[in-house]
Order: sequence, then C-alpha cells, then structure tokens
Amino acid sequence: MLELEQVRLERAGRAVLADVEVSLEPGVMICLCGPNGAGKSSLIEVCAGDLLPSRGSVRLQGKVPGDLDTAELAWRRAVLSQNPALLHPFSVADVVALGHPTTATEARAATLAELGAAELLPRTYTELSGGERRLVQLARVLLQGERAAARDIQPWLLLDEPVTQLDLARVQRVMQALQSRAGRGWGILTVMHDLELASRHADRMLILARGRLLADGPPELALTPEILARGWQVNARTELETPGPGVRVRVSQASAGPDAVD
Amino acid sequence: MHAETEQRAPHRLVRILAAATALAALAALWIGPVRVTPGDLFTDEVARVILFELRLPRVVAALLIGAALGAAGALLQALLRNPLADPALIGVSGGAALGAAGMLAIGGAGSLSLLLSVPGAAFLGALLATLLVWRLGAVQGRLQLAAILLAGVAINTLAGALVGLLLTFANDPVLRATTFWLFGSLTEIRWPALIALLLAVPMAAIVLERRATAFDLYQLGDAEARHAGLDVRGLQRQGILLASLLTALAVASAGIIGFIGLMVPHFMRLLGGASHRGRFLQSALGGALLLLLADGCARTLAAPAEIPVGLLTALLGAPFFLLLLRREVRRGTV
Repeated sequence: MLELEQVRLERAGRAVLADVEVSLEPGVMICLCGPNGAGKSSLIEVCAGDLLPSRGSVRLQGKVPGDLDTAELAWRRAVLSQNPALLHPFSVADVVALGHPTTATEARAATLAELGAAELLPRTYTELSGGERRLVQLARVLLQGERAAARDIQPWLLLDEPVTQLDLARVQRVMQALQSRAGRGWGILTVMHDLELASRHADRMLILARGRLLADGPPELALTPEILARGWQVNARTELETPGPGVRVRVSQASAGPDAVD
Repeated sequence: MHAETEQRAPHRLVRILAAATALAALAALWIGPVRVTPGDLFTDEVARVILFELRLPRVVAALLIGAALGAAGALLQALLRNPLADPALIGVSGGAALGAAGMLAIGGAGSLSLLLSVPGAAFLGALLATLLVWRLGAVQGRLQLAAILLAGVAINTLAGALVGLLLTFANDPVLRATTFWLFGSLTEIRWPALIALLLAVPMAAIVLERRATAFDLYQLGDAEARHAGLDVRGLQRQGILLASLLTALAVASAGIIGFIGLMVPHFMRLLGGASHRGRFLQSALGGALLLLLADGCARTLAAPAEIPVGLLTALLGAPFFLLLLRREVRRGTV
C-alpha cells in the first residue's frame, strides 16, 4: 500500500499540496491527472521520498520513505522523473542496464522490445529523440522493478508522464507493459495528461488541482463535467465509450467563470 | 556474447594502454641530449648516473603525475557530469598552487617540515577550490556547465592574483620556489609528494574502479541516481576528496600542468564509450603516457635547453579545448 495522510507540502511559502489524503493499493492501474501546476510531480516526489511533506505523512508499504536509506528505497519503488539528464554518450544498452546492473543482456533487450523499441538497443543514448530517450529511461525503470520482483518484493512504479512524447503505437505498448506489471501485483501510479487515454487504461483515477484532490475513483466517476469545470475551468461534456472502457471528453469552450476551487 | 564483449572491452583497452605506457617509459630512459647505450651501463659511471639518477626519477615522476592528472580529470568530468572539466581549467590546480605558495610564504623555503606541509597545504587549497566551484556551479541544486566554467575561471583568476601578490612580497628563495608552481615542470623532483602519489594513485584507481557502476548511475542526475538506490552525497564526498588529493599531489610534485585531465578522459571516451567501467584505470594510464611523451618532447625539442612541460601541454591542450567547446556548443550541451 501507498498511503498519504493529510499531506501538505509547501514550497517557498506556497502550498503545493494541501491535505491530500489517499490510500493506494497495488495491483491496479492508478492514473494521476490534473491541469499544469496542479502538484502532480510534487505528489510523485513526495511518494518517492524525494521531498518530505511539510505536514502529514507518507507510508510506502508501511514505512516512511524518509526513514529508509536510498538503497532500501530503491527496492520498494522505481521512479521515472520528467527530465533525466545525460550528457556523456552512453550506449542505450548501458543506460537500460543501470536499472538492474546484474541482469542478463537478454532481459534488457526483452524489456526494450516490450516497449516497441528493440531497434534502439545498439544506438547511443545522446543521439536519440526525446520520445526515444523516454522509452529507454522507462525500460531502465521497469528493470529496476524486475530487480525487486526477483527478490519477491512487489515494487511501486512512480511514473511522471511516461507517454507524453510517444507515438500512437508506443503509447499502447507502454500502457500494456504497465498493465501487465499491475497484473503481477506491482503498484502503479502514473501521471497522465491525456484524460481519455488515462480513462481507457486506469482502474482508478486521481484528479489533482491546485494541490487538492478533486476526485478519486473509477474513470466514469472521476471524469465528470463538474470535475472538469472545477479542475480545468472548461465547459465539457463527457460520455462513456461504447464499447468501453473509457470516457470521451468533449470540450466546448474554456470557461471564463470564477474558479470553483477555493 | 554481446555482454561478454562489453565486459571485456574496457579491460582490453587498459591492457593496450599499460603495454604502450611501459614501452614509452623504457624508451624515455634512453632518449635525451646525452646518448646512452645499454652497454655503457657496465663501463661508464656517468652513463649510470644519467640513467638512474637523472632520467629514471623523471620517468617515474611523469608516470605518477600524469596518472594522477588523468584520473583526476576523469573523476571531475564524472562528478560534474560534463566533458569540459579539468583540474587546471576549473581552478582546482590554482587552489593547490595557492595553498602551496601560501605555505612557502609563511614558512620560508628549505626546511624539512616544509617539504611535508607544502603538499598538505596544496591539498587544502585544492579541496577549497573544488568545493567553491561546486557551490557556485549549482543552480537550484543542478550543476550547470556555464556556471561551473565561469566559477572555475573566477577561482583561477583569484588564485593566480593571490599567488602573484605573495610573489610581490617574497624574498628570493621563496620567489624561486613559488614560480615553480606556476609553470609545471618535471626538472625538480619533489620526492615527498611523489612518494605520496605512489601510494595515492593505485589506491584511488582501485577505489574508483569499484564504484564504476555508481558513477554511471550518477550521470543520470542527482534525483534519478537516488531513485536507483545510490548514496549521491556519499559518492560526491568521496569523489571530491580523491580529485582534490590527486590534483594537489600532482601540483605539489610538479606545479600546474594543464589539459592532461581534460584531453585524456576525452580520448578514452572516444575509444571506449561513456561507461565508467575501466575508465579511471584507462585515464590514469593514458595520462601517464601523455605526460611521458610531452616530457620527452620538452627535454629534446630545444635540447640542451628545456621547455617547461606545462607550456607544452597548454600549447597542445588549448586548441583541443576550443575544438571540444565548439562541438559541445553545436550539440547544444552547453
């Protein structure tokens, strides 16, 4: 379990997260959505143990992340952050292997292939496009999870926008890869910008706006015109995909109305 | 099979470099203004003196100092996550020279305790300079290349000015001893620092090789490396200490010899890829080889006069640095 209890996070005197209270179970796809600047990345950082909440507490599998040392934390969760930097011309194989340095070469190739990126293996990381780099980093993070799974630890994957820069086919591959990990009992918490895409894959959606949790539930309950108005200040209609799963979001116009959130 | 070649490649490069360095060292013993043949060693006292008392110590010094500078360069480039770091370029050598000059100015030249305390002061100077560059080079916790280089230039300038100030008020022996640090040269062998290098270089190479994977992980960024389980602060502390130690001992032995630390790790990346497996051994050997060659040129090009080897490496290194800089700018990594 990943439990947040009345989590408040302040940065430069401003509340980035306010009273976030949520309990997340492993084994299902949990998507975290919200407008820009809602605090999604901060929430990931708090869960990962990068940031300590100003108030409240986080428990990852019953332990406070801040109490664990970095090596121990790495067995319990793997993180894909937004902009990993890498200036030296590493080979793709080297970067992927960093997730699990003792793994067999075949495992690296298989993980890349699973994401539809097998052809990247012999290339140099610094020469890849943004989307390709994303896939390589994700393969590294998945392998870090496998490292834990090999020791019978069900890790959490905390992913900050894994698919934003990816093409149509790769998006599907990535979502399938995450779903298969959820099926094996791993915890999955992933930030998504595309609401319809998230609704098609999520078992549970968290909607965050200005540091507060607006909605938490299955996609059809989390994506309602009212929530979209409060979170994104848009007038939108929603309808269930037929056949499901998924929710269609039709934005008619941006609302100029007063903010619904306090 | 792929994995095997990957594992073996760094060590093959290490072996090739070791062989080349050994050959160059042997050759360097026989090259010089005076012609000495192996046969002379049995018959000629002067030949023995030239070989064992003049050339051998100098070859050993070039090997150790070059190795220290090559390894320190690879280490700084890994720590600062950029390919343009060099102990002399970012102020670490300048800090060491200032420490050494300061100690000389306080103590006067010549006493035995001084011989021991000057490398110590050089170490403190190097450590201080590294920490300063580190502090000034980080913008909101992220190391920025432009900030590092600018901070390095500033610290170099400051250290140079302070050394100049010390020189202005120094008496003759101190003046002579201090000038030595400004132009790197292997003409005067400083044994205490060299003996310390003899211990420090293998120790550092072993410690660093064992952390090769950690340095690879570290290249992903502070947060990402932590996510993967690396104690980032611990690695940085260890790295800064070792880089300062190696640079300080090299500077205390032979003064500021620039660009070895910049060029060697770069060549090794070209030959062996970006991974740090084998990188510190390769850079130490490459540095030893390059300084040996540079010193060979310094001794023979204008014989019987000598060109300070620091000038030669600068003549070679400055254009190389500009080339590198242009490439990085084109790639958008600056």
